[in-house]
Amino acid sequence: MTRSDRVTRYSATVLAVVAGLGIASVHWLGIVAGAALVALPQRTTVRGLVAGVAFGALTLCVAAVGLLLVGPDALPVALEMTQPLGVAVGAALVGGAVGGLARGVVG
Amino acid sequence: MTERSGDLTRRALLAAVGGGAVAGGFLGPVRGYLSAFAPLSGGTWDAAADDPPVRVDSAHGDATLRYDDAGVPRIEAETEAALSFAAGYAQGADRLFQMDLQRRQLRGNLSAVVGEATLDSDRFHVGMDFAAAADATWAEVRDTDAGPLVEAYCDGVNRARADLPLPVEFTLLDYEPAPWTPADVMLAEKLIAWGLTGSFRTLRKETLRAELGADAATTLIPDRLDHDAAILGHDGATNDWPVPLGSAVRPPAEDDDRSTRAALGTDPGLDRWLSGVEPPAWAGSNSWAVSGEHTASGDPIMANDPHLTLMAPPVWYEQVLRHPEYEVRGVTFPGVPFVVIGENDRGAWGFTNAGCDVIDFYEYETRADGTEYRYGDRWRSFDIETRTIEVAGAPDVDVDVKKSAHGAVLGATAGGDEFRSELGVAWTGLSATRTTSAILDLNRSRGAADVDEALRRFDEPTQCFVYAGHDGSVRYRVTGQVPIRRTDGDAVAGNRVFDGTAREGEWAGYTPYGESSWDGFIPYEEMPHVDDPPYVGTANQRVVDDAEYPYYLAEDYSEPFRGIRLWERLDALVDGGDVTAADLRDLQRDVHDGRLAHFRPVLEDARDELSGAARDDLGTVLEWDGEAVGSERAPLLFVHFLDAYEGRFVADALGDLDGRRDAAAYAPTQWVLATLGDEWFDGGRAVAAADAFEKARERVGAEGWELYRDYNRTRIDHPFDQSFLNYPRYPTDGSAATLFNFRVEAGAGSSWRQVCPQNDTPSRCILPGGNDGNPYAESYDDQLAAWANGEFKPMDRAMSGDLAVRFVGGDEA
Repeated sequence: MTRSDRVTRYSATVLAVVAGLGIASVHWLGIVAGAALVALPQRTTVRGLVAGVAFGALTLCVAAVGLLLVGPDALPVALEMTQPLGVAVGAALVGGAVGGLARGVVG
Repeated sequence: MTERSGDLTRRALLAAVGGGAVAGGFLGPVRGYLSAFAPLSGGTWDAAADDPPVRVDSAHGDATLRYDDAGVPRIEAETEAALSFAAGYAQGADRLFQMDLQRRQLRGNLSAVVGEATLDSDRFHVGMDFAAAADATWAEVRDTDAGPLVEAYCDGVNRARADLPLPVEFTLLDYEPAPWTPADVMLAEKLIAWGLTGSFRTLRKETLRAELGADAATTLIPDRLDHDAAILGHDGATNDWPVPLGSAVRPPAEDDDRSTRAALGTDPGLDRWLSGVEPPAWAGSNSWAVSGEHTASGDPIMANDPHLTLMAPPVWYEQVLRHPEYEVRGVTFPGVPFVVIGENDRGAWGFTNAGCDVIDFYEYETRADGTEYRYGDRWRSFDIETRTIEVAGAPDVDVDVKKSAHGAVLGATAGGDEFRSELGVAWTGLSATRTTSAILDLNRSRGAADVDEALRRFDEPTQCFVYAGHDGSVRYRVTGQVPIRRTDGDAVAGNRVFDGTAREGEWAGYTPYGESSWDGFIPYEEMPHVDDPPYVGTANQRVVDDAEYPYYLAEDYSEPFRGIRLWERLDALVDGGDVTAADLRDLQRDVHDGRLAHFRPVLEDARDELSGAARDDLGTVLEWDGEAVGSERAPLLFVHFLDAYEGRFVADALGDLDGRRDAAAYAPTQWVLATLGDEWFDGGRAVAAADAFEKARERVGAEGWELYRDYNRTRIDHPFDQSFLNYPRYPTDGSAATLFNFRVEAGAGSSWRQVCPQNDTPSRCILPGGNDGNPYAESYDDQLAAWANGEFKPMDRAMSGDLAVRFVGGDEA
């Protein structure tokens, strides 16, 4: 993979996002794995870390959209769930950051 | 360090941090939280999307399931089995957690998922062995028409359980429900039957007799309340009822034949335990029917609103079932296939609690460390079995389940006092019952004759059944089996603890955990009933005056405030002529609180002891018209005065009770409380009443309440008491004593309202909440605001709404 090629990098990132969301829909570890996949095409470790966290945040957004599609009451109810919501946000951001570290490990 | 080795160290460090975090997530306590709450994959969020698949294969035949705008399933099928399968699927989709929780409660395994907080409840329910009674009941029902339908229903519940995401509560508690079984269906019946007829009043009265004397016990807990509002015998309405001659000699209703044995109090430990698990005494309801003779349309109209716990989701589940031979709409208990209260295309029916005495208590002479008891001339071994109660987060607990010839035996470790620490319990619900078949036959009924026949199998609970049919018929009947107790061949009342060893108070024909017969019970034909009365009204008041009925029927009845008001309003409506369904909906919204008139002498006593603003406030209450509406201040002060006055009575009069007891549990009814004189209060009644009124003003002021609506608000919560599961709060009218029934402190009231004219005019109904138990769904609480406002929704039986599921059976499957 050539990280300096923007098209290749972007394409790999998009593919990683799609694959990551798929895995994250099955198991919480998918957030870490998805974040790692998204981080790998990035040019630096810091950018990889940021991409991982952004992926985690994206899982939250996708979950919110999913609840919106269920019905008008679903998202407001979810936002009332203080503790579960806290765990969800924490899992998304910490999991994303942990996955993002993969960029620094792989080099 | 070289650049390469530094790079490797950095990578290793990052790998260690990442790997450690992942390992921590997998192996640490956070794992469960991540599985439950992680975005996208967490079960908490998955539960939001519980739409069923559009096609479900069924071994029971074709059916369609639609949901209307209120989340009410409308199911149509050619066969009853297909109908039941689809009903099971809908209930499994909408109420699975509630069903499982209630099943756990009655089986005594709540603690396995909740923890030690429910251990007392589990010990009681295991001790009573409701599960064995349900098994016996299923053995009785299995070979009837209802049996295959119950099995089809269970298949439907279990298919939904497999097809759909589990409700969010299962994720929060981290467990999966076991399959729903026919015995679980029978358990749901036991749950409501116990809630309506399980009572330890006998024990409380014996304890009062032992600790305060017979006179005090009779004054504070009289068996009959002084009023003229009995259901049967009301002039112009039910005075033409068939009074039976009776084959039994009526036993004395009061205490006068109990003097042969000294009263003995219940052990305080046993007392506390039983008080904690006893069904609330307020469970009641309203129901009435007016015949076509008095209605504008010339057709009868019936109405019913059962008063039960208000909870999220509601105690009832509404459903519409259409079969080629009948169509029925109404409510059932989640976990039960058939409509319990509702109407079909030929008639409408409802229930109120009759309050008959179907429970007795026995004490025994024992030996061999309590493992044997004397029964007549012989010694018998108790049937003892050790069961294990699983407790989440704590060690399992072993309990002995003990049974005698009479039924369950409940006990507590004696503290060395002269108290009863062990009691045999006979309850009609411990025997096999056929109520499921009776309910099915009500669903199928084609008129009053079918209804009369169906109720022969309604073994429990004892209820006041009211029916109105398209054929112009009206029915009132007390359902259920009421035992005739006999000692040495003579009929005796059931309002005492019997000497089981001497074989006192035996029930002939009764087999606990087995099959009973009608021998030894009041014959069906002689149970209180009236066919085609001009009108009838029931509100849990006395069924019939004792002098007019040859059998012992009930130990006591509910307070008559609603019953008196109901007859007043019904009489006036009938006198006015041309009663309409709107009139009867207005009657369900009646908020006149009869307690004001009953307590007026007490309040007037207090006036002389008050001055200034307190006296002005009391004047406001005395000038109030008794209408418990939110815009008034007087009901706010009045209901808190009642609470404070009762508290004052308990402190003054029940202080001599053993201090290990909850004295408040021995407080008299409000009907009695209002009649108690100076001798029951330190310093006299007027001082006590004034003090109570001051306390009421203090509480109202401290809470910042101005009007009744500030206090009288819905407070309907989920068992988990989480904000996202609890229902929103709405102000409402009514009180504990009004027909429009709402008990804010008890979290109880009208759990369903239906008014059903027996012509082409649409019936109307409402639930206090919503039909769907999924908190993410719009139908979770969409009826609550309208319910609080006293509004109704249409109760038609059309197959409207979008097709949700097509059940495909036979060759297509």
